[in-house]
Amino acid sequence: MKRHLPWIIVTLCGIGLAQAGDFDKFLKGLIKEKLQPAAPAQPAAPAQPVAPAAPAAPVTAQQKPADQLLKALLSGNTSQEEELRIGQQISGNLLGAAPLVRDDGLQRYVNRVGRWVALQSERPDLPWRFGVIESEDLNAFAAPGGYIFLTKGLYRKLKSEAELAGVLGHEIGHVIRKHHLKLLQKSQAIAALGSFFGSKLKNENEIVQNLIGNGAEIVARGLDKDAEYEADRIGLVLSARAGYDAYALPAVLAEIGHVAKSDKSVSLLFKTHPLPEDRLGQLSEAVGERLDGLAEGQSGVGRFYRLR
Amino acid sequence: MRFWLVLLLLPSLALAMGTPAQKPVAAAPGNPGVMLRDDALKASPSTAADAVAKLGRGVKVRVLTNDGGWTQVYAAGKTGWVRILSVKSDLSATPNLGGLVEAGNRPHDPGKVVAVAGARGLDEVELKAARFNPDELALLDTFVANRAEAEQFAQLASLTRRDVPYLPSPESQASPSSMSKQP
Repeated sequence: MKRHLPWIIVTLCGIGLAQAGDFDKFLKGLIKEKLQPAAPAQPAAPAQPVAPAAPAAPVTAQQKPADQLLKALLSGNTSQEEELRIGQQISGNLLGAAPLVRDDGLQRYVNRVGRWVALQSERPDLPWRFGVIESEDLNAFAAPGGYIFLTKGLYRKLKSEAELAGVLGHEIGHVIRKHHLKLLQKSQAIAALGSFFGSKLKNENEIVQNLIGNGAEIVARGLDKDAEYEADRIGLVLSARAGYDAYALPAVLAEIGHVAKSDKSVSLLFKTHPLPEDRLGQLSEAVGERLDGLAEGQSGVGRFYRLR
Repeated sequence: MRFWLVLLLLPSLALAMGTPAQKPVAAAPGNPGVMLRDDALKASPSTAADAVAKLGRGVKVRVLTNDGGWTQVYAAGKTGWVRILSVKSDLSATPNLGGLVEAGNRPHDPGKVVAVAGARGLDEVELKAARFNPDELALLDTFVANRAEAEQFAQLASLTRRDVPYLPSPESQASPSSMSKQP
């Protein structure tokens, strides 16, 4: 541990001095430098928390040493297993804050609609999971690997299956474009470094937790605006491909736009997303005349599962 | 004690003062809006409905209500429906709270309203403090729909797959000068 002290001091000084992206790059370079020799050829680095497998053995998802995960994240080459591992941790934490609504019929229904929409994407075979969680806030969340949640408060605002499809489609968009992984890759260099040197971290769970920060705060952090606009475009298209009314997602946005901006139920949503009117404006511009020839899709209003 | 009370109230006071009072609605019905593109004014909210007028881009309308993906507008003495994305409700008359919303959500903001008992919210503090719940995660798995189940559901619902290409980002097509990069 002592030999790592200078590095930690350098890091701490760096945090104090620079907050620029350059520092991020510097850190990444530093980590890569430290990680690469630690990979297969050389004996494991002292701080390597889990690496029981022989260095030459093929690395499977379970055995994958922590530094492998860090490297994958930093290079942007996470495997599906690694994605799932991260998504699982985030989702387990989120469910710790807001459990699933105890309505099996509702949960099954949302999974069927959601999976059907996800099947229209380029990642149809992810193990997609959808859940409605106990919260009166209006919000929806996605985590890597195909975990999607929406709050009971938002579900209650929806008027049709097409609107549900649009909302789920937006979240599916975040997953298929790996928006959260990119966020982790961008902002977690410091945490990554911390976990690399943190010899106290015993297992992969702790490494992953260390990567995503405290609890489920990553879902409260927010993506950049362009990621949200992109997810809106994807949500609209995927639900239209699935046979639903393409204009259902815009209808949800308009509905949310009518909620007072000062209402507490939308404070986190509006903090982490552009305002509904801006999202509608962007969608309007993106759609233009492109959907003019498209036959009207289903609203599925008769099938829509009503909350008890 | 009173001093602290005043401190607590200050942010909301600032908010109230910085917010111009909502202008009283004029005699015209609905909210002001503007057409974002040329579109037909339909007699009812359906593509199959007859067009009662044509509205050009930039035409000022009164926005009455929404019905799914349709917006009811009043323009040129006629009431009808246009696609929700064809019209923009003019919200410039109402204050842009974007900056205030952000300020109100800063961690440890003294003016931050504490969750009302009973209404379960989901804020940053709760999310940060959240503990991994393996039971809920396992429960989630029991509701999963596999590909076959989802396809069967769609078939029963007569939902048919359609070919719709992804929409390009409008920014990638717009001229760079028309874009404003916000922080």
